Amino acid sequence: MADPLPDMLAVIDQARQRLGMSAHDLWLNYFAVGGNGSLDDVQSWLVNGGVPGREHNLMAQALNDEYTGRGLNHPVAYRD
Amino acid sequence: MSADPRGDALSALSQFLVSTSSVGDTLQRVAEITTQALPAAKMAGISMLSEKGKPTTTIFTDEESPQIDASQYESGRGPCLDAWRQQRVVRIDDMALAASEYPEFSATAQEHGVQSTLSLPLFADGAGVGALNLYAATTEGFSVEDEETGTDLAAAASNVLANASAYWDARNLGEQLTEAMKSRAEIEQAKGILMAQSPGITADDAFDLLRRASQRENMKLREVARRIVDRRSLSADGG
Repeated sequence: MADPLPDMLAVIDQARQRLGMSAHDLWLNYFAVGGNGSLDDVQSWLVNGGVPGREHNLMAQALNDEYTGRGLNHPVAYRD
Repeated sequence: MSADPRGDALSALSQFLVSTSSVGDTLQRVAEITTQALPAAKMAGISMLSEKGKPTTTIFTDEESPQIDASQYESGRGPCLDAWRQQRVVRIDDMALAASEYPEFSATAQEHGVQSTLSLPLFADGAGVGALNLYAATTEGFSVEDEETGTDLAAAASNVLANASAYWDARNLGEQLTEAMKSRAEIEQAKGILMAQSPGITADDAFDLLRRASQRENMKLREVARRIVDRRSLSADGG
């Protein structure tokens, strides 16, 4: 079975782009909900993957919070 | 009038405190100082990109200035646009003679009584970011010396602009980080309350509870956390 994690990361980056957020915007929102990675970490994860599960869910939360503000309910999946 | 308007203007620009003025206020002051240093200029305007990404006259000392410049932006050609795009000084000594190169701008400028112009490029980090435009009511309003003075002033203005942008960028980032830290603190506090209420759950478990509530109720995580903290405060107050 194919590894689902790269696809989940692609969803994060696609959502970021759809929301018109820069990597810096994403990092700031991710940091605001408790993310521990640096801006460099986030930029690297978006390109190379390797994001730990906890940090993945915090990035998803940062994006979902942005979607909530725009009337959409949590379209970005979390990693359980 | 000062015996050395050029020196006064450069001094004023070098002493300008970007921390007490917004970028817009800074540019407005640059335009005013330049018209004082070059008395032939009956008005000045600064062309830059608008928030929508289109060239516009964002700063002006007279309301006629953006009206004149509009003909350049609509036609896509004019001395201000050339100064900006080609990063060079563009001087028009006789507006009537500029009709072949800039027909729309030449016609509009003459309708507004402008007979000569001086357009000076503004830079930031080595790239053109706009142009400072000066308008005179007479032909040959600006001399070679005025062009040199204007170039010096535009260079000083570019430095002021770069400093102002850097200052406000840093200040905005500082405010954003302060807000992000407040959000983190509220979320951590809510996680602590949940962990105290349910012994044995980890911090990650507490976060999962918060995010599931956020998803269930379609609320931002910070709002869910704040509600938990507020309820706890009311409970502690006996409310």
